[in-house]
This record gives sequence, structure tokens and C-alpha cells, in this order.
Amino acid sequence: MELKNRVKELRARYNLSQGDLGKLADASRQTISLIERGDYSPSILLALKISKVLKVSVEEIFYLEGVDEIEENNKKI
Amino acid sequence: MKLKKIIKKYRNFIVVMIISMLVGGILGGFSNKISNMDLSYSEAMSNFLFKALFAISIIITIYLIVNIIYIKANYMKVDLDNIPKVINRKVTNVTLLCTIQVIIGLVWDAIVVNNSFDKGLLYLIMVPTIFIVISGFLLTTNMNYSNYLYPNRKMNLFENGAGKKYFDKLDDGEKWVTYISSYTTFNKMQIVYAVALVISILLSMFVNVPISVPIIIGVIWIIQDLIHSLEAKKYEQY
Repeated sequence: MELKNRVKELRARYNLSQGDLGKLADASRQTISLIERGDYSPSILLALKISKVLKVSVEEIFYLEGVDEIEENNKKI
Repeated sequence: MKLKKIIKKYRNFIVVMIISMLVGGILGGFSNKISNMDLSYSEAMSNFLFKALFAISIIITIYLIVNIIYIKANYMKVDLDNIPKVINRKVTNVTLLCTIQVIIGLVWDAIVVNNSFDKGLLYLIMVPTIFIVISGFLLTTNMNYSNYLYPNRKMNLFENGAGKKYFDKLDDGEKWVTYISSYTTFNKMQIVYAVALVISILLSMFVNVPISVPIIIGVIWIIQDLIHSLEAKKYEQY
């Protein structure tokens, strides 16, 4: 199971550079780049800040790939 | 299938054991010839090291000066919200190389003291010291440019706890990069220590390696593992 995100796609919607988004979300350009590449999973605080800037909910930006398996297992229980 | 799985799982261990066996076998087989060889550390070697370190230091210092001149010429012109990669790379490289040059200078100083103490040639210590001073000056200059370019990451090298204060200023992602880099360094240093010990053992068969060399490597290795273990224990509270 892997944490995926749509930061790059949503950032492009507002025509923001990584540096711009970083500035607005109180993070560095490097951190935004790490998140977009999927190398780094942000803290809840940073995820919330990014969601505020991009005006969508956290779940719309960050999602788990392979979450269906968990839901199916839950149904069995 | 089972054997293949086992080989895959223990590949590194098996490779190290085979290499060790081969090296051991070769050394054992040629032990008579090796013991007759004389490659002892001589005056000529010391002179060679002095000249080699001088050449390396000159090359590094010229590279540093060229880069500092480039940064000085451009750092005021850049948009602080969008710092060009080339400037960022040069500032990082200069910081790293200045540190390396200071370490080279200190090692060089140690070699000079070791070789010249009884011969009254201690004035030679001035040469590596001059390089250390130049590197220190270049590092301070570079930090001034870095502080201008990254006002949120300002660092005063001479302040108490400068490293910790700088680390506290980093954001989550940058701290994560530091953690990952530090852990990788820790893991790779285990290999470096093991290889250094093996090399010191092998070298001792050909040249006169002081007993302090393997002892120092071993002590540093143990200290590093102890620090890691004690730091990890701090967070193992129930």
C-alpha cells in the first residue's frame, strides 16, 4: 500500500511553481518536490496547509493506493 | 529453488566470505615472498605525501576561489523566490569542499608534525595551516552569500550550537532528507570501517603500519555504534 498524491496536478491548476506552493504552505521548494515525487509523506500539519492552499480536502490530494484490499478484508470481518 | 532463495538471501555474506578466503589463501600461499619484501614507509614517501597534499590543496583552493568569484558576481542579481540551480549547487559545493580542505589541512599538519618533529622542520606546518586559514575564510564568505540567498536558513558558523540551530530552522521535508542521509552515512560507514581495518591488516604485511591505526579505526567504529545505540535508547520509552 502506498501513499499517492495529486499535488503536481492541483498545483498546475493554480499555475503555482513548487516554490510558490512551498511559500504559501510554509514549506521549502525541496519539500514540495519530495512530496510530488512520492519520496516523502508529509506530516498531517503540512498536508492540511497544502490542502488549504489548493482549496480541496486532504483526501482529495493524498490517497492510498491498494486501499480496496483493506475495505474487502474489513467486509469479511 | 530453495538453494537459489538461500543464495539470494545471503548473497552479500557469501561474496564477502569468498573474497576473504581468496585473500587469505593468496597471502598464506605467498607468505614467504611477502615477508621478504621491503616497502617500508620512508622519507621519500613522506615527501611524496607532502607534495601530493600540496597539489590537491592547490587544485581545491583554485576551484573554491573561482566558484566564490562566480557566486559573488551573481548572488545579488538572483530572484530570491526562484534561486537558479547553478548558484544553489555552487554554494553547496563550496561549503562541502571547504570542509574537506580543512580536513585535508589537518591531516597534512599531522603528517608534517609526525615527520619533522625531531628534524627541526616544524616551520613546514605553516603550509597546511595557511590552506586551512584560506578555506576557513572562503567558508565564512560563502556562508555570508548563503545567508543572503536563504534568509530563513541563516547560520552563524561561530555561534554556539550553530548546527542544531540551523537544523531547527529546516522544515519537515528537509529534516527527513537529513535523517535519511545520516542513516545512509551510518550504514555505509560500517562498511568503510570494515574495509579500512582489512586494508590496515593487509598493508601491515608489506609496510610498517603503526599499531595505533587499527586501534583508532576500531575505537571510532565502537564509539559510532555506541552513540547510535544510546541515542536510539532515548526514544525507547514505554
